[in-house]
Amino acid sequence: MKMKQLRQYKNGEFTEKELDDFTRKIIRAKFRKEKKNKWTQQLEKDHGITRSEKKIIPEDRTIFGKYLIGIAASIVFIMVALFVLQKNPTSDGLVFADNYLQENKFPNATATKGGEDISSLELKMAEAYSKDNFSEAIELGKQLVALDQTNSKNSFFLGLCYLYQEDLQNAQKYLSQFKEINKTEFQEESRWFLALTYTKQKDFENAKLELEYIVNQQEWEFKQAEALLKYLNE
Amino acid sequence: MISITPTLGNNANDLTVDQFENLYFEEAIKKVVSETSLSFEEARRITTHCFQELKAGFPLKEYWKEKKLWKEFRKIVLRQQYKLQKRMDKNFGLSETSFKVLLKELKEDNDTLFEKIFLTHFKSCQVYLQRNYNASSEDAYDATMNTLIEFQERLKADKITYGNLRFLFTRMAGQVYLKWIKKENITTAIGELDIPEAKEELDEESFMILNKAWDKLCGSCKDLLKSFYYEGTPLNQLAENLDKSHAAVRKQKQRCVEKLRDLFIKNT
Repeated sequence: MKMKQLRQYKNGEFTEKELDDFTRKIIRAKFRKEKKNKWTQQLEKDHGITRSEKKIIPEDRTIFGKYLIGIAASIVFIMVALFVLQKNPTSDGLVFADNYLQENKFPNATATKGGEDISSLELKMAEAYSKDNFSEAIELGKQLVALDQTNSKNSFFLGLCYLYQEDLQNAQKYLSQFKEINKTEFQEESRWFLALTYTKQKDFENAKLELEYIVNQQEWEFKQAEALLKYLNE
Repeated sequence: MISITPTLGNNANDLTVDQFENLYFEEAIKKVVSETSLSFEEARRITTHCFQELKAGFPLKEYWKEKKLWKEFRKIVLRQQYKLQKRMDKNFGLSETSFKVLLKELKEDNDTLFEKIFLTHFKSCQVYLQRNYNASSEDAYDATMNTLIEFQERLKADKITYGNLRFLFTRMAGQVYLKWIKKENITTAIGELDIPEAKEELDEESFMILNKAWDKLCGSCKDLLKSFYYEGTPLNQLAENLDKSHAAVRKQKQRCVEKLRDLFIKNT
């Protein structure tokens, strides 16, 4: 609140309209502030979240909290497996992997970058990928990988193309290659798609290893990873 | 697309899809209700959809092994459940039905469900602002808190509909943060050394004074002022609720405003 307004309020210098507006402001501010104070306390008490950077949130509590959220989010999904009469964890995992791939296509951002400084081959591959023309994207991707082995992203998208085409062996080859070369970008992403590849190959042990990494990171698609991991562990 | 072969004969255990539906429909809904967190209404909707999808993939007059029908049916249920889960993920874990419950509770001045859901997602929004806008932890915290307030008020006012609440919330948080940053930058750029333009917030001292004044107000004034100024209830609605004329409530409101001001001055 402005000091001047407060002074006018106290000195009765407002018109009726101004008094009405100011009263609205202070009452709204009062209730908002009360709510904030209440939530601040709740955040600290129930979620270990404080405003100050200096206060350290206990690591285990945060992770435990996130873990619980993850479980809550995936619980509905998991319950379906219990509902179904014939339990078969293997096929549940496969159905999950298929569903994910059908519903969530990973975007190749290269297609939207304008492409002036991106090689035409890369751009062509991205365009083919974005149009679901995976056969063409694979041919272009193979050329790119052969031409420029330093750009590991090409391996990643080539692996994805193979995965969407159900060529699991090649999907595994290129996604693994990417994971080995690139230790900074798309870490969760490559491991996630690798996990889906392993799941579809029924190599559940390797799938679990990748999923555990994603769950521990608590970042990209970790809820999905938790849900799939649960299926595979059943 | 479903592609299984029908059984050759009509064995006692074989069923048409219609028979399968008639036999297991109600049971399927009950199981979904009892074993998931879905409401009966949602479970019925999903089950109906699943049977429709099943029927679309099978010639209706053919007989099928019950086991195969179940196998296909469960695939469809999983798929539907997956879609629903994705939709709920976009809406802070709320289904459309629970969203309606949330709105109802908020309008009854009950914050419990809102707090349960949104405070759980506070940290992820704070981290989002830190990552995407390079906000400091404190700034991200404040922006998220202000967004919570704004979001709740918009929900109460029916300005937000079910769809992608998570996206809307984070976008709003981004805007709240950017707006605040812009304000800060302008103040710094102009180089004003006096008190920067105040936000629409009460400083701690004024807040204490107002609280003391508010506590001394009579109950009817508190109710009236809160309903009118904070909850935005129009005067004619209040008049109807209180079974009074519009003019009488207007007069009462003016008296309460004056009373609050007097008490504010006395407590300063």
